[in-house]
Formats: sequence, structure tokens, C-alpha cells
Amino acid sequence: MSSESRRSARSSAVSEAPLRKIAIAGNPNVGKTTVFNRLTNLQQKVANYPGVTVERKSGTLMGADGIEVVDLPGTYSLSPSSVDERVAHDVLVGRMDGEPRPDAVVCVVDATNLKRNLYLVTQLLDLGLPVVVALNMMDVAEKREISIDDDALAEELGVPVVPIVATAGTGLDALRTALYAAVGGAPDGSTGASPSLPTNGQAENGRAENGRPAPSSVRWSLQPAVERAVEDLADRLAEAVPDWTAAQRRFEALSVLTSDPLLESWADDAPAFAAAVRETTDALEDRGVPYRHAESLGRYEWIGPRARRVTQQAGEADEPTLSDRIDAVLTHRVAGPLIFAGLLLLIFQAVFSWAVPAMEIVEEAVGWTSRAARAGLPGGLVEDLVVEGVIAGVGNVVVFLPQILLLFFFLGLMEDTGYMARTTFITDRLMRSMGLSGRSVVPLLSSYACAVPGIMAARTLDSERDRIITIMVAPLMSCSARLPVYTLFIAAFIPAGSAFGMIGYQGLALFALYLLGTGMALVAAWVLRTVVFTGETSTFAMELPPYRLPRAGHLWQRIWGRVRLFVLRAGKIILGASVVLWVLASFPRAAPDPDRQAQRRAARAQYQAMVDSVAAARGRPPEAITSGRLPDAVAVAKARRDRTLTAIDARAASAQVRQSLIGRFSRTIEPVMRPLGFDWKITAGIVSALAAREVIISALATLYSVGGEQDVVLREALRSDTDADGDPVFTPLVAVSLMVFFVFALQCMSTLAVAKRELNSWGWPAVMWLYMFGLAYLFSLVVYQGGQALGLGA
Amino acid sequence: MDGSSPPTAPLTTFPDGEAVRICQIGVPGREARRLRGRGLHKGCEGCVWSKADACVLGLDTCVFSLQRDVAAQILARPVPTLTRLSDLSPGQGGPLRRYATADPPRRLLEMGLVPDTPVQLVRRAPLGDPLYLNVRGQALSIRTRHARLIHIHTA
Repeated sequence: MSSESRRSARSSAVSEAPLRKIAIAGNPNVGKTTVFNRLTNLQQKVANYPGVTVERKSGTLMGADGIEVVDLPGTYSLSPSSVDERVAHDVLVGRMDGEPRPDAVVCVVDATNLKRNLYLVTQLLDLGLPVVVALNMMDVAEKREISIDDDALAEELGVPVVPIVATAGTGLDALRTALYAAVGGAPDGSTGASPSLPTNGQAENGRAENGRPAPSSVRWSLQPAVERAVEDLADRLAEAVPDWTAAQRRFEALSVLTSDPLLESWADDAPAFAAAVRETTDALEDRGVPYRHAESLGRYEWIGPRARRVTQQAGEADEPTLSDRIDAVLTHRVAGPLIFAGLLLLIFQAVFSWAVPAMEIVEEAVGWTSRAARAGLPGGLVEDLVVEGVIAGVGNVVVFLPQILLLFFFLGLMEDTGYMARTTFITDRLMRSMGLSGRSVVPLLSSYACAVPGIMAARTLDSERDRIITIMVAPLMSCSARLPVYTLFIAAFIPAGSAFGMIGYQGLALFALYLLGTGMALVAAWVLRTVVFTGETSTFAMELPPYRLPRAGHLWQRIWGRVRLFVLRAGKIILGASVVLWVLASFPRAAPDPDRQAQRRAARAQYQAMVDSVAAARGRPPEAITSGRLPDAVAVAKARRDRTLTAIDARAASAQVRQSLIGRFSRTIEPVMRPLGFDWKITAGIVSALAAREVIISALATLYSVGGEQDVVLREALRSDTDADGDPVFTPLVAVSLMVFFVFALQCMSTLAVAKRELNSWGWPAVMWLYMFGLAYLFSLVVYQGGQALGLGA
Repeated sequence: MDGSSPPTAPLTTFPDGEAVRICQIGVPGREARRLRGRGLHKGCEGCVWSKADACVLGLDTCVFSLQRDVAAQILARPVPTLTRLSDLSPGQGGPLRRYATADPPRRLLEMGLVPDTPVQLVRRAPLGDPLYLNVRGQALSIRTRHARLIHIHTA
């Protein structure tokens, strides 16, 4: 993967030139992505780091083909406790598989919050890599009357410091120049380098030697007892990784002292070292040395006075900013939740209703394409494969786009303005009581519209554990694809009356189905939290970034990136599944039925006879009768012929399904589904709807030989169907059992595909499908058997 | 000390996380020398909490795990100028003094909640948790559970 992503299209001409790599590090919300966009001019590739769900964004440094820029996840620290930090740590230390250690690091720093941002900088300095500090948000700092002496800061840190305003593009040329210097000048083959850029200049502020700033290490100090322990461990590490520099080893020894996941990884790679670490921590603990926060305190002790020395603040720090005043309303204990609820209603409304016209257009377009394909293709299997397999599959992907676009527009707005963090603040307590976190609210509610964007929205969760739980329960929220199924069966089998003359039974039934799904989602979350993900939850400490105006370009990039991922990654799987299901429903072919052939011929002959008789009566050739306006008698005969042919086709399709692998499979497993009240036809409907829930309607229409998807006709057909003994197949109890089955069963290939993509494994989606199917079976069984026991089966 | 200062009490009698000032170390000679050697002396300030059957006294430089009978002979009084962050009322604040635990959540430290940093409680979330803090002009949200571990110096 990495070799592919490292090869940019333009660099192929200079592939012999050594590839240099620059990593971008920085705290969240400091404009790291904007700097990355500016440096790469939006020529980027997105991939995943192996084994984790963290995105690896990379691009080519503008004007230098041989220099790759990698955007690391935003972190406050390199001590690995979250997945993001683990990735940043592993890449920078050089422990990431398939990812060579970068040659230099640029650290984006928020000028308005220098002290906290310098924490990460001191860690980067300890790594022994050339570091360039990009002092961002100088404009915001200026507005707040904070001035920073960047020369003095460079002096203190011993590395180049470049003041920039990433949003406006100010200082980016200087930053590029400093970066060239950091990696030892632009590589030779860089024909694409813009001539206006110096390619081997001195860094802005750095003390460059041979055009390359010397790696620098800060002299912050640890408590003596801890320092000795770190030195010992760094020595021990030399046996395991002899090619590492002393700086690398020291950094790793310090990190492993307080990071359990890191210690575990060393337990596999170098058991002796891991054992030494355990001994050391035990000894420190016995002696009461507070080693766990020694690093943080040591670094801040060093940073504090230096940050003060280079920063000058004219204004009063306590003065409430605009953000503070906005928050007084948006996080107010009464107004805050009300405003958030209103916003959610708006998003709901948008995804449920505003997306519908666009979805109808998509469906129209898919229908039109199908007709065009049928007209243009030779008939038979190829035509069926293209229309029913491929086009229907693509349609299944594209039909979600309007909802996804709209939802991601709103989510993007919430993230870009900084409001998302406030929604977490408001709902955290409530969600925590159910085993989730405040950040799960939006993904879960989005899943009422569609679990696909809902699962993708779970990316905003920074705790891996919360993210997995949220994704695992999101498909239990009744999505809009279940609605047509609910509607059909409710209309067919739930009486239209109302309780107390107010609440309609049908509406009540629909509400109960939604409630059932939602309730189960919360129960499932609670079970996952208490059974699977036991133990201490990660520390919740969340920055509430200052409100910002969203920028159209950034917002669009965010939306487009996610939509692209959905179409490319999930689309492939959905398309494949559609084709497979088509094959299962189409093979083996049913033998042509001689009776039906005869019926077809008879219907055509009848019509021809009518045409002939009219032609004879008028003394004109038959062709003259059928061209132009048809006489009434002929028109009636034609309509009758078409009706008959459609009915014969429908019976043939029904026979085909009965004959197909799906039909055979359904009849084989009928005994298993029987206790739920489902005969083989309903089972075949469920099996056909494995890829997408709403397919059960067209599948039942085919099985019941109802031409087209005429709901009313289908409803009648369902009600009047009888089994061999003459008892009705569908009783209200069977309908309820089937609806309950649909509340739980994960009949959606798109959801599985997107869950696989987001969780980067097939394991979780498999568990998801199994537990939801288990719930569906169990609850339908209870409904049907319980109902029968209560005498409701008739 | 003026007459209004609270009375001294054995270390074992303080609730978990209480900030105390040591007033008298009434343990026998050798043990006293050992404790003094590691930094425990009259007038020093720290936090107490209990762990299994030990009484833990956390100072800035060292954490003592004391047996209950030893702890019972050390007298201390609460420090009235220190308040737990979770107990502040909205608008109140002051410099962070220390964490009342030997193992403070590292995330909090990394995000700038370190000793001597001015911290203000701005408001609580609608359901009372988490808290909205102002740390040096930066808005930060942490849960009450963690705020209980943080002692703020309120003048």
C-alpha cells in the first residue's frame, strides 16, 4: 500500500531520485489540515495505516516531486494512549510497518496557545529528527493582542520557526524553504520545482549547517530517580534495536514507562526489554516515586518560563471572547439542549424529506438506464445480468448519495464551526449512562435516516472503543429503507381503527417498531460496554475550540472525500453482492413451460385475429390498421393481449425464482423459518433482501406473480394467499413477526460494506450480522410462538 | 496560626482526596527518620486517600504508603485555601495546586492542566457533568470524576 501511495503520477519520471519524507504533526484544531493542503496543493492520496482505522493522508510537496508530505493524525502528545497517538508515535519513532521513518517533521503550532502546543514540540525535538515549527494563526493572535517573538522562540528551541497564516497562505513560501533545508535541499530530479522557489536556501531562522538544521534536543529535566530509570532502559533497548539512535532509544524508553499498549507491543518484539520495564516500574512504585506524571511536569517546567519569555500579551486575558459569549447561549443548561434538539430536527427533516426528490431523480435515472440498456442490448441472460445485476447494483449505491451528501454537509458544518464539541459537552452525561459517549449522538440519530452515513459519521469519535460500540449498534436504529417494508405490512394487516379515537393503530404500530429498534440499540450498547469492553474508559478531556466561520472549500473537501470513499470502497462490495444475488435468483434456469408458450402464442394469435378481422371489414391491409391510431376494438384487444402476456411473464418469473438457487435454498431452510411463521416464499423474500431490505417487496411481488410493484395488488395477493391446507399464509401475527424480524435483521449489504471499511476488518461486521440476525430470529420466534399460545394465530 | 484554624486530626480520619498540612509526626524515632529522609516533615502539604488497608499520603515529590497505625500517629489539619475543582461554583477559579492521586490522568496533564496553571470553572453541562473550564483562555471540558482529583488554590 505504501509503495503505491508513495508513487505519485508526476514523480514517475524521476523515480531514481531518493524519496524524502516530511511528516506534519500538531495538536487538533491548529490548522494542520490547511497547512497540509497548502503544502501539497490538494494533490493528495488517502489510504489506511495497516491494521488500524486511522487515515494516512499523503501528497507531494508543491514544487518538489521527490518530497512526500504525510499528514499525521492530530495529537496533543506522542505518548501512545489513543490510536491516533499510537500512529503518530509509531511513524515518528520508525516502528510503523511499511512506513520508513520521515526525514523531517513540521510541527504546526497554535500561536494563541503556545504553552500547550510546545508540549508536542518538545517531544518531537527529543526524537532527534530535524524539526521545523510552523507558528500558525498569527492573525488570530494579533487580534487578541498576543505577540510572539519568533526569533527568540527559534533561539530557545534551536530549530527554525516560521510564522504563518495557513488560511490566508501567508508565510507558506518561507515554510517550504525551511522544509527544503530540513531535508537537505530539494532533490536533484525535481524538474517540477517552481523556479520562483529557492531550492537550497537557508532556513528562515534556523542555524542551518550545510543547508540542514541540526537535530536538536531540549534540556528539560526529569526527576533524578526517573531519569536514571530511563537511561537504564534506553541502554537495555540497544540490544533489541541496535540501529536506533540514542535519541530514539531514550524517547522510546520514556514513552514505554507510562504506556501500557506500547509495553505490550514490546513484549512481543523484545521480551527481555519489556520485562526490564515492568521491573523498573514496580521498583519506582515501591519507592513512591511519582514517575507517571514526571514527564509531563518536567516538560512543562521547561516550557513555562520560555513560553512566557517569547510571548507578550497586551490585552486583558480574562476578557470574554466572542466564542465565550456564543457558548454562554449554546452550552446554556436550558437553551443549549433546546437549540441542539432543534438542529437535529432540521437535519432529520433534511435527510428524510429534502433528499427524497434527489433520490427519486436517481431512481428515475436508474430506471431510464435500465430501459435504455434493455433496448440496446441483445435479450436474454446478458441483458438480465446488466440490468438486474449491474445497473440495479450501481443504483443501490448511488441512491444513497443525496442522503449522504446532505448529512455530511451538516456534520461538516458542525465540525468546521466547532459546534460538534459542544454537542458532546451537552449530551455526554446522558449517553454515558447508556454505555456511549456524547459524540455518539449524531451518528446514532443519523442512522434513523440511513446507517451508512451514520456509521461514517462515527469517525468523529476519538475513542476507538466508543466508535466500535457506536458502529455496532447504529444499524439497530430503524432506517428509511425499512419504512417501505413496515408500511406495506402495516397497511395490509394492521386494522385502520384507532385507540380512544385518537391514536391510530397503524401509526402506533409504526412507532412501536421504531421504539423496539432504538431500545435494543441502547441495550446492545450497554451490553457491549459491560461485557466486551470492560475496564477503565479513556480519560475524557476535550478541547472546545473557538468558533470559526466554515470555509466552503474545506467543507467541500471534507464532504467529497467521504462520498468518494463510500462510492469507491463500499460501492465495489455492494455491486458485487448485487451480481451474486442476481446469479442466485437466475440459476439454474427454469425449463420453458410448454403450456405458457402455448398461452403466449394464443394471446398473440387472438390479437392478430382481431386485427385481421377489422382489416378485412375495412378492406385494408393489416399493417395499415396497426400503424397510426388503433380502432377501438383493436386497442381493447391489444390491451388484453398485453395484460395476458404480463401475467404469463410474472408467472414465468415466479417459476424461475421457485426453480432458482434462492428458491431451492429457501425451501430447504423452510423448516428453520417455520417456527417464526414464515413459509418458503417469505423466506425467499428475506433471502433476496439480504443485500437491501426494500428488495423484499419486489421479491414478494415476483413470487406472487404480481406484475410490477403495485402495492395494492400485492397487498391483496398477500392477504389471499393460502397454503396447501387452505389456511392463509399471512396472518396479522405472521406480518408482525416479519416486521419484528426486519427491525433487527441486518439486511443491508451497504451497511456491512461500510462497517468493514470503517472498522478495517471483516470480524466486526460478521459479529454485527450474526448478533442482529440472532436477535431477529429470537424476537420473531417469541412473537410468533407467544402469539399462537395466546390464540392470536388465526 | 489564628484560633479559627481547624483542629488537627490523625491522617486516617480525613476523607479521600482531602488536602492537608502536616502538623505533628508522632511516630517513633527510626520510622520518623526514614519518613523525614524521604521528604515528610512538619508543615508540608499534600493529599490523603486510602488504598486497600494503607493510608496514602501524596506529596509533590513522593508518595507515601503508610500503615494505618503509623498514619494514625501523624496529625494534620485541612488546608482551607484548597478546593477540589469539582466543588468550585461557576465563575470561581484559581491556580492548580496539585493532583490528589499518585497517578493523575496523563491526558489532563498533556492538555495543560499542570501545577500553577490558572483554571476557572465556567459552567456545568445541562445534566451537571462534564465541566466547562477556562484554562489560560482555552475552553476545555473534563468530567467531574477527574475534576475531583484536582486541587485548586482559591484565595
